Formats: sequence, C-alpha cells, structure tokens
Amino acid sequence: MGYWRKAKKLFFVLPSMAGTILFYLFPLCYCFLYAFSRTPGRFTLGGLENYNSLFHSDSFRLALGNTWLMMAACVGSLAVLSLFFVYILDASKGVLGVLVVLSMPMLLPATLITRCMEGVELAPRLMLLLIYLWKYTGFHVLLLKMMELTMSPEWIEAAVLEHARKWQVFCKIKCWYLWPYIRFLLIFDGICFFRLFRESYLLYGEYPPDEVYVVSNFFFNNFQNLNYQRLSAAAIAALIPVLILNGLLLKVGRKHEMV
Amino acid sequence: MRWYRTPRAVQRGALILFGGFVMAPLVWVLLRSFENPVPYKAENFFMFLYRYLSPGQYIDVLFHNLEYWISYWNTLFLTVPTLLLAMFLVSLAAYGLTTMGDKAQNRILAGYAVLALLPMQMLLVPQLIALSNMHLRGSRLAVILIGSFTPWHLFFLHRLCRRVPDSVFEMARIEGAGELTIFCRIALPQMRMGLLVFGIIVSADLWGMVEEPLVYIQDITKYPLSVLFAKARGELSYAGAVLFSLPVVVLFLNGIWGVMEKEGIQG
Repeated sequence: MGYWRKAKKLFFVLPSMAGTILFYLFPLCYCFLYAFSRTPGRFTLGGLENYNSLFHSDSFRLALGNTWLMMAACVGSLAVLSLFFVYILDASKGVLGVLVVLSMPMLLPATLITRCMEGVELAPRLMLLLIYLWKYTGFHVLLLKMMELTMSPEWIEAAVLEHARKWQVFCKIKCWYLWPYIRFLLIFDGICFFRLFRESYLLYGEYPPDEVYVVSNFFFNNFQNLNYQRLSAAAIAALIPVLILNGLLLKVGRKHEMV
Repeated sequence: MRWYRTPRAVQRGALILFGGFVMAPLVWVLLRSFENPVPYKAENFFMFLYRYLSPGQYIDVLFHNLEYWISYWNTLFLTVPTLLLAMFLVSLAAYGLTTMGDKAQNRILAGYAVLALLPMQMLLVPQLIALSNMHLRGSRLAVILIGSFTPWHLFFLHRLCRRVPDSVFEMARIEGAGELTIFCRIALPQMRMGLLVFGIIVSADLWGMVEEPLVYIQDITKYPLSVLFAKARGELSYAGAVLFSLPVVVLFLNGIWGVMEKEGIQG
C-alpha cells in the first residue's frame, strides 16, 4: 500500500521529470562525453585536448572572467537596491500599486528594451547593468513586499516592546523571515543574468565589445562556428562554478529559515 | 508604532526617483512611436503636431506590413501551446513534490535549480542533436517542447505554491479521496494564484524568445516577431515594438491586480 501510494505521487512528477531529463539532463551528459572527443560527429577519444585548448583560449578566459564579474555586480547591486526599497517603503496599497507598475519592465520583450536604450551613450558594462536593474528591481521589491505582508505583526510588536530599532527589526526579523524568498530570488537573478544575452545581442550583435563578452556569447559564437567539442568542454567548465554557487545558496541559512 | 514607519516624504521621494528611472525610457519610446515616419519640417504649430503626433507608424505596422503580422501569429503559435503545456506539467509536478518528504523534495529541487542556472546557449548543440534524432528539427514542436520542460518553471512554481499546508491533503486522503481528485479539487484551486503569476511571467519570457526559434526552427517563415526584430536591428518602427509589447503589459496589469485583490492585499 505504501509503495503504491509513493508510486502514485511519483506519477505526478514523472512527466515533467521525463522531459527535463530528455531535453536537459541527457544533453548535459552528452556534453560531458563530447568534451573528450577529438572529432565532431563521431566520438573519438581525445583526452583533455579540448580543455587544454579551451583554457589557452583568450576569448574563453575573457568570457569567463567577465561573466563572474558582471554576474556579481548585477546580482549584488540588485539585491542591495531591492532590500533598500523594501526597508524604506511601507506596504500600503498605494505603494504596492506603484510597485506593480514599476515591475512592468521585467515583462517587456528585449526588443522594446533595446529601443528604450537607443541613443543612450554609456559604457557597455554600465549599460547592461542599468538594463538589468531597470528590468528586475520593481519585481523584486513587489515580491518581497507581498511576502512581508504574510509575516505575523506580533513579531514586530514584540520587538518594538523590547525597544528594538527599525534597522534591527529589519535585519534580525524581516530579513530572516524573507530569507527563503531572497535566496529564491538570488537563484532567479542568476537565471535572469544569462537571459541578458538577448539585450546584449540586440544592442551589440554577435560580437559585443570585450567588456561585455560573456560565456553566453562564447557559447553562441562557437555554436555558429560549428565548434561543438570546444563548446561542450566550455559547458562542463562553466558547470562547476554553477554547481558550487547553487550548493552554497541552497545551504546558507537553512538552519534559520522561518518558513 | 509611528516611529517605525519611514517618513512619507522620504517614501515619496524614493518612489519618484525610482519611478522616473523606470518610466522615462518607456515614455520616450511611446512618444517616439507617434513620430511621423516621413520627417516633415516642423515650421509651424500644425506641422509640429503632424510631425510628432501622428499615427503614421501605427498605420504602417497595422495595415501595410504583412511580415509583421505573420510573425505575430508565429509568436502566438509558439507561446500559447508552450505556456499551456508548461502550466499543465508544472502544476502536476509541483503537487507531486509537495506530497513528497522534505529530503526528496529538496534533492529534486536542487537538481532542477542546477539545470535552471545553466545558460541555455550551453545546451544548444546536444539539444539540437536530440531534436534531430526525434525528427523535430525545424518544427515549431521543437521550441514548444524545449520551452515547456524548462527547469526553472518547476523551481519557480514550487516556491510560489509552497504555502499550501500538507494537512489539507492528508485530511482529504483520510476522507477517501484519490490523488487525482485531490489534485483537481484541492491542489489546483489552492495553486490558482501561484499559477496565475507563473503564467504571466512565463508568457512574457516566451513572448520575447530569440535564441530558441533562431536555432531550432531555422525557417524564416516560422520565426516569431522577436526574431524579426533581432534580425531587423533597429529598422522596425517604435510603434511595432509598442504593439508587440502591449499584450504582455495588459496581461500583467490585469493578472497582478487580480492576484492582489483575491489575496486580499490591503496594505
């Protein structure tokens, strides 16, 4: 009976899991295998040749360095800016209404966004950072404010009775209450950062300036040049930091989670 | 508790600054979309109006641009089925996950999070090979399938729907309800708001997709409008960009107000 019930529960997850395995996990394993191949098309063992050429490639090193630098700048500044607005804004109906309107850019197609930025002369890195903040800050503040409303007001009242200051209430109660959502948003921001490729592609084309040449550009260009083994090796090399980052995000603060 | 609130002037100032930062580019594009496509000299007031307040770009796009409309339909053919399939699959999976133990749930979600964090360009080659083996390369179904199984969907919806208490499902089981009944009668209505937010965000993401159709379809007659814009790079009108974004904006504003009203968010 127990097994049957478990199997029935698994039945709900199975369709989504099957598709994800087929279209995402298998391709990733294929990448892993292909990264060690010498020839495109048919597999012939080439050892670490592809990795060797990859790490000697200036474009890959540039792309990897730029990716982590820009990702840290984008995700970090977005988190700080969102928390700043969460701190100073009250969750009144009017404020939430304004935040709804201000979270609209997140949904706008890259086409319109690049049109909006036409004629703006900025350094490429700053331009992409601004687009990123412009797109996602409103949505982040809105989501965190809506989640803040589900928090019990008694906690804050108790803290006030203990003479806690506003920043203490924010740092020691609200932030911990919101931590699962902040963590979720940090992972979501990482996903969104790689989606910034669309705007970069529309603004600067296939070969953007060196400062904003990230791994997405590297992958896309190698794909277009049919350099599949190199692409696979690069995919595996980029996977390791993603795994570490993800592991860290999922572990940090789990002990103190309130929801 | 009054000391606890930020002074109203500070809040207003912050909102005005933030609002200006967000809205200024949008207003600029909206104004430019009313610029006459023929650059007349604005010698007097009426000529000025004719130059800067003309529906010319909209008329061009709406009535004289067949390619725009074909691509618009292509966008719909790709977005609607992908969205529906994704919502169906993800709601099933999110319910399945919530009924599992915490350990299994966290492991599966961690796996999904890793896959979600990978840049999509990374998997282009193996996905293309997989699709070719399934004889789907060049068809819309390729984009629909890849889009529906995107790993971040489950990760996202699960977080939105996590608040549904497990005891509700357990009560129904004790009353003799089957899993499918619980899913349809209890889980789905409880997930309604989460699904709505999910639908809005995913539809916006799909509406603007560029790389997937470019790589998997490889047929100019089936490309969505976002690819057309990418290929035209600045040659399509501002009105075209505004009209393209309009459905997503309307859906978002309508949907999110609905969520706020139904959740009883009063502030």
